[in-house]
This record gives sequence, C-alpha cells and structure tokens, in this order.
Amino acid sequence: MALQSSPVAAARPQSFTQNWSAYAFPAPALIILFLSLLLPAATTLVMSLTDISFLRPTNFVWLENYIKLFSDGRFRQAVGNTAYYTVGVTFPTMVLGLLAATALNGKFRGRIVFRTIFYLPVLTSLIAAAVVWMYVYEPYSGPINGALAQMGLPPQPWLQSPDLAMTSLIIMAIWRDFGTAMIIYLAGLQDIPKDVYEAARLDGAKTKDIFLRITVPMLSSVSFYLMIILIVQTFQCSVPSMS
Amino acid sequence: MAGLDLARVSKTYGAFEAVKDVSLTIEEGEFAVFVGPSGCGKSTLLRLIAGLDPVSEGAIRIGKDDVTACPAGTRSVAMVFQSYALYPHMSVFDNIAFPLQMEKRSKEDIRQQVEKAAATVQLGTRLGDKPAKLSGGQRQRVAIARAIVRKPALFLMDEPLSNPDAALRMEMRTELTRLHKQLGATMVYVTHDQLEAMTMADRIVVLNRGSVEQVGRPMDIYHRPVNKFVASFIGSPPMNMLAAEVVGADGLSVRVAAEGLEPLTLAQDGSALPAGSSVTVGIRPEFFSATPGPDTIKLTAIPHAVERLGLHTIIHAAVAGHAITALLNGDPVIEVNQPLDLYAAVGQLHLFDSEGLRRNA
Repeated sequence: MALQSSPVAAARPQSFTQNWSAYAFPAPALIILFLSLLLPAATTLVMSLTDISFLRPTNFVWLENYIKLFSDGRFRQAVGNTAYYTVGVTFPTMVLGLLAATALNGKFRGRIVFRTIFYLPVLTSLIAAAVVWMYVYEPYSGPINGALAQMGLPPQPWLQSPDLAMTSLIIMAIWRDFGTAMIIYLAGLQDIPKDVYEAARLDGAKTKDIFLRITVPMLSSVSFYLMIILIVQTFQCSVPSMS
Repeated sequence: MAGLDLARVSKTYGAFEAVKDVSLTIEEGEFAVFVGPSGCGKSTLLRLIAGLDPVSEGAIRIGKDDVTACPAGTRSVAMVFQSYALYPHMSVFDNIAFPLQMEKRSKEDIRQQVEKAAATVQLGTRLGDKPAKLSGGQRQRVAIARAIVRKPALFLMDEPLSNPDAALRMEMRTELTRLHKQLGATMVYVTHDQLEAMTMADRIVVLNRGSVEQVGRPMDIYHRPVNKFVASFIGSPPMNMLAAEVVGADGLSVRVAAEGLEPLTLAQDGSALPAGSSVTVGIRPEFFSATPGPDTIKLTAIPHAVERLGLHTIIHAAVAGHAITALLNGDPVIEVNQPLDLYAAVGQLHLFDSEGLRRNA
C-alpha cells in the first residue's frame, strides 16, 4: 500500500513547551499594555455604572449616570462644540498641510528653512504658544486688533465673544498641527515615483490635473492616517458649552 | 507619425557633459534603437526628445516642427517607461484613457479608443482591474496601450524590457516588433542589451560617453564596426582583440604579426599603416572553427573553461597569455588545459589602428 501524507498530521497543533518563546517575547509588552490601557479602560467602564465618590460606600447604579448625562443639555452642546472643533481643525489642517508639502517638495533655494519654520509650532511648548496667542488675540493692544484699527475697523473680542472664541481656538490649533500634517504629507509625496509624474506630463496633464488626479489619490492612505490621528488628537480636547 | 531630427544636441549637468553634440535623423516609420553601456547618455537623450529635460544646446525637430522649447505634453510624443509608470490608483481603463481625458475628448470617443488600444495589446478583458492585479507582462501592455491610444507622432521606449524575466522578454521583443509593423509608427527604443538592439532595430545608434559612435543597420554595425568600442559592444560573446604589429604594408596589403597568431597578410590598402605601428586584430568568436578552411589562419589555444549550449559550444581559452573566446558549432570534444588548434577565417578579421579605428576596406 502506498504511503500518503496526512493533512491532519501536518496541521497538528504544537505544544506550549515547543513554542513557549513565541509567548515569552511579547509577554512584557502585553503585560504593560494590559496594566496601562486595558485594565484602566475596563475599570472606568465599571466605575461608570456606580455612584463612586470615595466618601461613601459605592453602589451599582447601572445606567443612571448615562441617562443623567444624555438628558443634560450642556453635555449635548459640549459634544456638538467638540465635533465642530474637531472638523474645523482636522480638515483645514490637512488641506493646508498638503498644499505646503506640495510647495516645499520641489527643489528650490531655502526649502529647508521654510520646512523648519512651518514645523516649529509642533516643537514649541503649548503653554508658551498659548501665551503668545493670548497676546495676538488681546482685545486692546493685540496685533490683530491693531491691524483692524489701521484699516478703520472696530476691535473684536477674539477670545471673549462666544461667536468668535471657537474660530480663534481653531485657528490656533491649525497653526499648531499644520507642521505635523506637512511633514507626513512630505514623506508621502516623496514616496510617489517620479516616473508617474513624468508619464502624466507626457500624457498632457497640467499642474492642476497632476495634483488632483495623481497626487491627491496617491496620498489617500496618508490622508486617511493623518485624518485619524488629527481626529483623535483634537477630539481629546473636549470643548465645554460656551453659552 | 513623423520623423525625428536632432541637430547638435548637447546636455550638461554642471561640468559633466551627459550628451555631446549629437546630430541624428530618424526617418518616419523607422524603429531606431539607442544602445550603449550604462551611463552612455542614451536615456538622457531620450528624455531630451520627450521634453522631460531641457537641452543645453542644439535643436530637436519632430516632423516639420521645432519642439526644442515645447513642454513634454505638447510634443505628440508617447513614452513607455522602464518601471511602466502606471497610475496605481486607476483601473486599466482609466490608465489607458488618461491621455484622452486630458485632451477633453468625449466619453464615447474615449471608450472606443481605449477598447481598440486594449484589443491591440490583448488586454480587452482586464479593463476593470487595477495594475496591482496584473502580471509584469500585462502591466507592460497597459503602458504600451496608454502610449498607442494617443496616436503620437513618435513613440519613445526607455528600456521597457529590463524588468521582465528572460522568457517574457523574448515574447515582448516579438510583440513590440509586430506592433511597430502594425502601427507603422516611428519608434525610438533605448536599451543596454545589444541582443535587443540587433533583433528589433531597423537602425542602431551606438552611444558611448554621451557621443554617437556609429549609426547603421544591425548587420552593417556587426560586420563593419567603425572602432574597437562598437566592435566589442555589438556581438555576444564580444569580439576578441589581439594586440599586433604591422611588419610591412603597401597600397595593396598589410602584413601583421601577433603573438600566438600565424603571420597574417590582409588584402587592403596599408599606406596609412607604417611598419612597426601597433594595431589590434579583432576576431569574432563565431568565426573560429576547429578545422582548417581554404583561407584560414591557425591559433593554438589552451582552453580553461567550456560551456556547452547544445547547438554551440563556447570555449574560454588563452592564446599566448591573452584571453580569447571561441564559439564552435555543435558539441566538439575539447579537453581543458590541452592545446587546441583553432582556425579563424581571414576574410572575417578586423584590423584596428592604434587610435582604435577600423582599417579594413
């Protein structure tokens, strides 16, 4: 009788003693991940179902906290404000970052200087930047209102007015994040083969066509990644009710 | 479809001259192949013709139009790149349609032209696929279809067969030759592979260090290379070069002596080759035989390696300490490290002077 190889034998699971090292190597990282991320997340979830206050015994209240939260108008407005802030920061940052990266991807004198200048806000301390922006938005002696006064326009309460404060914060956040978007897009642009652009030029594509039909679609995975990190980053900046 | 005329074209990068004073005319409907070693300027010259790089000096005419200052997209030139340069995010249909979309053609016209071009390269069933789903050969066909759909005056191909494997390369060589005949198009093809040049070209342009060494039909270049560079570059295995000395010459013959070679008399005008001058005798490996003929000279060689290919046998040997290669028909019995008499046809010998220029009639 001819011998045949058994598919069952080939797929036989290996014992723990044979491949323990496969578990051992990622174990330290998994333990840290569990302690620092998964355990606090699960604990928070459980705590949200209780009336914990550290001053009296804790009782399970199940969904009562959630019902109270969603029936509060201030919470709904805070969520709306946060969403508005997130959208207002994420998409303009991406568009400006892409335009700057495209402009600075060419070879011209001083491009390194421009790249550095555009990336500096990312490296600047947030507190220092906030102080500078408070001065920029200062209603009496700030440079923006100074410029408006020179044009004969009335000064604006940039950070004090509920109508203007959100836009002022969005502009500052775009200024801060735009360097990150530019660097990520620059890396993506340098990944697009030169041949593809040359083929498009030979096919008669103009600069606008090359940007819209070649550059933007070929950066779609970079754009997606950038959108996710910007949304996560800006969404963490919870904006309270302003009215 | 149109011819191409290059008039004293040069390209410099700082102090480096990539293309030096090239003048060349390629006739309408001709398949011209630029061939040369890496860094000889053949791809640079192609990019100048395409308009991807500006010329430093000289003029380029396509048909009757001087296109020297015209941007790439306005030259009626299509190019197939070594890397194919397909648009990875577009389907095969959109890749082929792209040049027509840039011309703002109607959707119906684009559909018809794309389907026709795809059928020409046998890709009609893959129009909805993205390039990533295609094999190397199919991607090559998409690149060709994208070139032919525009009906350009001139096709440029930059080493398009460098990436495929040997079997596909052979298939694509035949395919491109068929396509050239079918379209009747003017094509300029760049390669470093002399086999591609010999098998595909109507005319070969041999380039070296940015200059044109020789322009001619493949067999003319093979049989009558103008200098030692062309003689060595065209032909595989390359031509053997034996250092020799002129021992006597007159208006009718040149007598040459070389170590390991029988005294040799070549029937040609030797008035420019005084006795005592250094020359080189060139012998193509395929013009050796193991048996004497009516007009042959004998060399005694010591073989050190034998490659048997079935139809031919390649012998790597030494003649008076100089390495030579011989290509013999069939499968002869050869013993390594034992003296072997080889016979070279005198009528097929090449004589190069001390400047490297061919001196045969």
